[in-house]
Amino acid sequence: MAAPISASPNPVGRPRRRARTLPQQRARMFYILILPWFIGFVLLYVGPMLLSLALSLTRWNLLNSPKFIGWQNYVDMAHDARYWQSLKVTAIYVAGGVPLGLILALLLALLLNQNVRGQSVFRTIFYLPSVVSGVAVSVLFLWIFNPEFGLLNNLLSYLGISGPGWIASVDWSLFSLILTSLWGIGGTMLIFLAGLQGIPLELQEAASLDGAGAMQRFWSLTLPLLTPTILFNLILLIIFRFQDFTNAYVMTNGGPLDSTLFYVFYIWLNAFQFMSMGYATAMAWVLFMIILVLTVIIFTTSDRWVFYMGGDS
Amino acid sequence: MITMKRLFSLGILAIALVLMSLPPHAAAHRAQATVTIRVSTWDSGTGGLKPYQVGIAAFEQSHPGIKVDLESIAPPVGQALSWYIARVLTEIAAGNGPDVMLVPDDQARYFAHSGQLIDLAPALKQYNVQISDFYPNVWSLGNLSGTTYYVPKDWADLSIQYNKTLFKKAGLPFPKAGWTWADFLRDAQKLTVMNGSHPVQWGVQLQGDWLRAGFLYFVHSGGGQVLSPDGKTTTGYLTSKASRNAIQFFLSMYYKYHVSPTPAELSAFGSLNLFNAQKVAMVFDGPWRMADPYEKNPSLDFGVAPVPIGPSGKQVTEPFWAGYGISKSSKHIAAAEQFVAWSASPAWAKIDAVFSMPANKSAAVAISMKQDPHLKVFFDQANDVAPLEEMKTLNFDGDVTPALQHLIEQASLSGSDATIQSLITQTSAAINAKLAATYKQ
Repeated sequence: MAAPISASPNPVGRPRRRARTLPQQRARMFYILILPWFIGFVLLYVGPMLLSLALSLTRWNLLNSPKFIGWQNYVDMAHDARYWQSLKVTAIYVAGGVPLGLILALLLALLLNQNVRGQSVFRTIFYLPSVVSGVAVSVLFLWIFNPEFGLLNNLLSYLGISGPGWIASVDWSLFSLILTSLWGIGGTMLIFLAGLQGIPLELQEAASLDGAGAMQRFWSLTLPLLTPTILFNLILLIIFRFQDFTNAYVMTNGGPLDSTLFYVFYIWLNAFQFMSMGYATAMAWVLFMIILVLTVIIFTTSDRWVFYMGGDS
Repeated sequence: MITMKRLFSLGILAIALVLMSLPPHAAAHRAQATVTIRVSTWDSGTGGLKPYQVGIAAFEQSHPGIKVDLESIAPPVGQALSWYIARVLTEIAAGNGPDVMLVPDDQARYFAHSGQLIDLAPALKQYNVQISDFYPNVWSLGNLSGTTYYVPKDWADLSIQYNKTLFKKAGLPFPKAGWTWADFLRDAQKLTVMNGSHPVQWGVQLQGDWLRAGFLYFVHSGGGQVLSPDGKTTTGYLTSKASRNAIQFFLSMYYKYHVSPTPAELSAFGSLNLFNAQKVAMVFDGPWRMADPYEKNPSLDFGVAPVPIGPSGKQVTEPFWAGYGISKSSKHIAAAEQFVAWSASPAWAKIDAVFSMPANKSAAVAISMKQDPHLKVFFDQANDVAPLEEMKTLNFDGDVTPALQHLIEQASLSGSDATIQSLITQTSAAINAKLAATYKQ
């Protein structure tokens, strides 16, 4: 009779390690593989964020050591008229620029989704502006919006219209910057394009066969199926627009009369012109909370208007 | 499989590679170790950096153990020195500040007060720097509370640059020494050309947000001040009768006479030089743009006149200045001191005198700057420079500048004779509140 095959690879009697199951092995490999990212995330993101939270409780001019002052920076913010002005300006900028950006990007994506000759060339052309440096774009729009010699007012004058002061006007400057921000919607457009191409053609064909016109197909089919992409772009655009800085810095310096005093620009002024890094850090944390709360609200309300294919709704 | 034998071989190979990578005569090198110091500046571009490169090459040749690493931190298009200051402050906060910093005049007090800079007096004495060779008004700007924190790199003052062609076209005589505010306003009005309601040419470019070249000049020339000598209040200074009258005159050129682009309109032009483009007939400015682009512009025929005399009856102009300071946390203070002492020499001043005027009298004479018809006006005003308001208080940029800029913007867009005085009172109160908070800390 053959000797029984030992169930243990270690028949001498030493304690044996339990063999890892496949899921455990996979989990271990997962953690090992994400370890470099995780270390970087802690060292380069979480660590500095916690340090900045600590700095927001100090008075610090960058030249001397920070001095702990508790919540004073946050209290001062509540009484700072320019702070509220910067919040108001940024809120209007976001409220105006985000919907406009989404609509324009979607329209462009719809156009670029048509099967026409030179489609890839058109897609490249419409995407290229978004890769141009922000400073270069701002300088370009300085010249378009110049009230005396700018391109826009010149064109309007041919139509017999006396153009407004644009970036030199308290009433029009913010609108000018909103228009400037539309230059960079190439990325948003690309994401919409990807979303459009994810919509099955068969559904479109079926709707056509059932007699649905182009507009009806768009409202009843394309748009609902595009809502996950819209959600994604909405959140991204809100985050980016809240943090816009370059156009205000280069084109208007926050003026005239703080009409384009963007929140992040005011942070920069406090940090490096007014030498109040602690106050600027506190402002940055408030901005973080605002964006976080807005994002959470959008996410939690998204199940009412976002349709996922294959989902229950 | 890695065996001990293989590990041993790899180790021998690693040691051999390290030894081979060592420079030859390492011991000898250590004895002649070169010290590298970092010097920061906001100048940039081929033209802007050439004086530094020539000067640094000469310094390194005469100081073999010292290398100079020039850090050019140029502001983006149309932006002021705030970008440079932001970068330098960030480097200092990170413990990686330059050894030698070029500090602009409006930040000089702030950096000195922070305790970040060393006292240069011992080094200046050790290296026999001839302080008597400097213009006294210029040298004194680098001294605070009896301590020498800075050696002036160069200086300038304010003048009027005017377009001769436009003056001739308007049938006006050229401005000359002794002209008054009334003459200046009359000329500016006649030189402003409108096309309907749109100006196609302005009589003058008032410098809007650049306080020293506009607002502060008019206040000082009018016999006023912005701040008290201790820098803690504006009451009785910004709100004095002389200051109020001067500010009203200055701002009326925007809201009443419309002879200058407003700060908002100026900002809308970005980096376009309106005087070079012949869109303004006069401009308050220093000498920096004369060599390039003005003298290089074949269609621009310009002259330089002293700033007009205000109601005070005295010739008053504003100084512009930058100085080298040495960081207390520099690891090579001795080398940095040698560099700064060398930069105070007439030899360096002559090399550097491209965009600005040397602070050394002997250098100015040696390169005939005083005979240059354009630069002569600036040198003639050397004794008329007003004290810097920015040096009076701890944080002028944070406590005073925003309120004054707001006043100018508001008045230029919607001011009137009826409202201007109350705007000045409100501005004074706003600045006082900021100053009180700063000095309470």
